Amino acid sequence: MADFDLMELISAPIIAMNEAESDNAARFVELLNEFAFRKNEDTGESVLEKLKFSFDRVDPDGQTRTQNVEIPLIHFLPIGGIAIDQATLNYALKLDPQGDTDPNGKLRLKGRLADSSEKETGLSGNVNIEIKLKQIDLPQGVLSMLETTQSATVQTEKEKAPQEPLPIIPDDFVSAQLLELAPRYIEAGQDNMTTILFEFDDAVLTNQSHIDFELSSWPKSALEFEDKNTFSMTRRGKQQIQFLASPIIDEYSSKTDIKLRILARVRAADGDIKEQQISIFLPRSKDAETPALNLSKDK
Amino acid sequence: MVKQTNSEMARFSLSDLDLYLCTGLYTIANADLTLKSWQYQICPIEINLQMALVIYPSRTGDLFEFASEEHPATTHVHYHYQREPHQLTRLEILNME
Repeated sequence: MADFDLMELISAPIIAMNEAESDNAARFVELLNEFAFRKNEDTGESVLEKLKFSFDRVDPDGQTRTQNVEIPLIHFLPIGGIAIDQATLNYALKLDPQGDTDPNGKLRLKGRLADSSEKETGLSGNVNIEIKLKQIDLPQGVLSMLETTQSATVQTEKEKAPQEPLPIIPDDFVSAQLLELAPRYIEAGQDNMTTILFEFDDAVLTNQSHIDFELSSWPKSALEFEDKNTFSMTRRGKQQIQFLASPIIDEYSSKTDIKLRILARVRAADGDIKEQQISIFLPRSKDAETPALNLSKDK
Repeated sequence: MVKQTNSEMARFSLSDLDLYLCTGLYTIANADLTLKSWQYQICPIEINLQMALVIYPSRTGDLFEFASEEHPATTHVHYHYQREPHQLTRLEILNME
């Protein structure tokens, strides 16, 4: 059996443990790259690998909504879990009884591991060795370097893709449907309000915009709006409008058309305001035809 | 100086042993191994060496051999090495029977 220098016998297990730690650190990086990131083949950048899934959730209001979830895969990986924190080595050595000298005349001790089964008897080993090992603190220089490089970790926001151009608001951004007119004609001195029910349906309304409506009549003083003569809408829906026919319409010729005018205004994202007028000819007798909407701009 | 016999020449003095251990353990404790420094994280903080020795009195100073089946130990030497923070190795003989 070959003999080893005593210092080799002491350092060999220490080297082995440190190499194991070093391999463990390298394997950690390897696993991290293998599972936590993927390579973008176009840019060569590492991209965080994510687990993506969706599930349906029922809201308290009874509506089912689909939730999309993305979780970085690194959260699921138990990587880098093993490390040597401390260790105790206990073994017996059998050193050659007499020492040797190196070329400089200095003492050298050589020997081999002793048979542990004979350790208790003392016949085999003549040196018992106990080594306590521990993870040492990082040197101050390394700590300073880590601190420096930590501040060098930069998170930058990736340049956002140019936003899609804002939708162009068409001239006829409002469409409406007349649902009800009660009573079906107007006459001066009516005791009850005339009620008109519209259903607005438009494609322009979004969360960012709303449409303001302003009511008026033609001739100007033909109709009296009891409350305010404006309203706003942010989504399609029904709107009821109430007014009284002014007594003044008795003075109008029977051929004079009386119109309810609704001026719709929407502010585009670029700040421009667009207008569209809806008008409805109000019948003045019960024999008149059912009124129709005119959505085009009044002249 | 009295001329030593061949076997006496192969024996060692306690100061030879001290020097050998001190140099060797210093090397181990200070990562002068085959490792790169960043790989050297598990470090000895304490080493105990109990040596069974045979003592041979000599006119120039006692000489020693490691005990063997043929020559059982006549003395035991306990070297205690301890690493302390920011301090070099320390080597001492705790007891000598």
